[in-house]
Amino acid sequence: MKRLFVLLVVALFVAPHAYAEPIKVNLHSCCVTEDATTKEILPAFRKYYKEKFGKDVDVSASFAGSGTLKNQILGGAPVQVAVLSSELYLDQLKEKGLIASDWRKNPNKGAVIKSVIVFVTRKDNPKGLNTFEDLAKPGTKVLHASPDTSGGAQWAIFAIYGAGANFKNLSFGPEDGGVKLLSAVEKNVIAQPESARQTFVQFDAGFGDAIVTYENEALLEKAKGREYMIAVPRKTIETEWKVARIDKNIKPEQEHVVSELIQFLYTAGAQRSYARFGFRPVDSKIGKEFQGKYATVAEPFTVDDLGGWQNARKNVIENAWKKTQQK
Amino acid sequence: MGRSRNMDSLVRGATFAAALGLFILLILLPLVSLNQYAVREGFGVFWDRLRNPDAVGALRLTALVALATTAVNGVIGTAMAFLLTRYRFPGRKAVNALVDIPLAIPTVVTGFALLLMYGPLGPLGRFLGDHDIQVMFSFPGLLLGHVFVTFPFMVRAVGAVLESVPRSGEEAARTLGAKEWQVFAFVTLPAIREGIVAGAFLTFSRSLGEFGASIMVSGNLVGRTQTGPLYIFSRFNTGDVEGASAIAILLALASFLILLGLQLVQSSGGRKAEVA
Repeated sequence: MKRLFVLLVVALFVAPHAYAEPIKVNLHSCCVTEDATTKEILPAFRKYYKEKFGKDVDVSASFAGSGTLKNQILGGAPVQVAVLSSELYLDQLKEKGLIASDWRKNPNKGAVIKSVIVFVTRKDNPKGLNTFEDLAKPGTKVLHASPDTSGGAQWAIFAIYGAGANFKNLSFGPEDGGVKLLSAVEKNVIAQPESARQTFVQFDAGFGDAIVTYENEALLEKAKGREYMIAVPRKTIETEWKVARIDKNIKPEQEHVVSELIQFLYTAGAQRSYARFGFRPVDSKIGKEFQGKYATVAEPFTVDDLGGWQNARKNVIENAWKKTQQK
Repeated sequence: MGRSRNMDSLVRGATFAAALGLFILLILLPLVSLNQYAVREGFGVFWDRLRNPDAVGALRLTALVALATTAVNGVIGTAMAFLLTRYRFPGRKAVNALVDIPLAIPTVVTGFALLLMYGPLGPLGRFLGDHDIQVMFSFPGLLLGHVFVTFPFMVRAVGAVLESVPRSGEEAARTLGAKEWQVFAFVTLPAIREGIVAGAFLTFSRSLGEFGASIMVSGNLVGRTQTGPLYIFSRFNTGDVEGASAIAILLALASFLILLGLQLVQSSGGRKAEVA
């Protein structure tokens, strides 16, 4: 009798508690989105979900280089939503059965934010570096992250290659203008650290004349008060971060939160948050609100101009770039 | 009495089993799982990954840096051990404590400190830059990083032996008219040989696996300044887990053989000492 009573009391306390337990969802997002995501987007999403559906959600996020995050997900990290800098990583997750749905069916083929590849120079740009061709001049010291560990570095290499290439005639051989420019710039690369962030550590320590990196990273460094200059090349690549649901890890009770979260990233509020941290919104209306923040690129191009991610990775990085690394 | 002996052996047995079990769980099993990954796609793939020119270059650089580091610390570390055990000077205790600092500092911080010192921001770096001497992002930079990180091993290994070697041999040699360099070369050095060997093995092994300082100071250029551990990290990140594991196995095996060699050298040295 006494035992039954205890059980009843326990049940009374536990049952409603279990009912009100917030639904937990984990987000893995590329390291450069950390500030925008933790400071604005996730708190806003929690508020939005509570107001609209009357339930608490607990979205926790983890940030690292996109390649590292992808490996963690492959290794079994209980992640339901991923925002990554390279389509290839999403394709790999799909191949291994972690993604079942078609992430290209999300708005903008899955792209939630954009940026462009620029380069950062020292105060007053003493060496007068304005185009990727300038980075190839003898005696210029260039930094970019390693394309083996950093999605941003892959974009940077695409940008340099594309700046010299003729998109109607991509041969990727030694006579290809893109390969020529890439080889010349790579001769001047003095270090390739693990991530974009680490590149700035070395730049802060006084190494290098220019860092090739995302515009949003460059804007963030300027916002921190560093007196660096941003050079926007005449011709450069537009980068994208894509979102996908990791279907294999989604439990039925998480389903609703996951789809709401993905949609939320496209809302005006979230797009403005990304823009405040230097990204270019995919929503062009919001983009106009922040127009003054971004320089205009005269001749922007995309990874599709290089034949899509799969081809670009194979031809530009594994083939052309790799050859420039031999002594 | 019989019962307590039983208890004793029970306790001993339990301690033995627990220590061995924990060792297997914490140390051996992770190494075994690495093995599984390395040969998951068959030995052909494993061998293929090892023969990759970038892998060979990285391993070659790792071996060269480890050798150079051992040579440098072999000399400086031994000298430091002498200083600390044979001489009494003001601040000796502080210096003695500082020797172990490299073990406590995150190696990435070590790398950053070197960048600041040898970069254009430091006076030394500016001086070198003016004379077109590039220290960072090259072999000398790696060497400086590894010498820093492995510094305590040589000092401690030689120091421990120096403490235990009686000085009577040296005094006898001096009495017999030996010059100072002869005393050092023919009496002291043979006596501390074991410490030098132990320190060298430890330094070499630690250098093989060094990552944090290397990634900051090496420049991480594939085939040029990328060491084995950096190569492993980049392979892992590109999703080539087989490639990463293959090189990791090789480095782990090298360390194991080195440390095993150290045990053999030490035990044979010990036996010889007993016979003498």
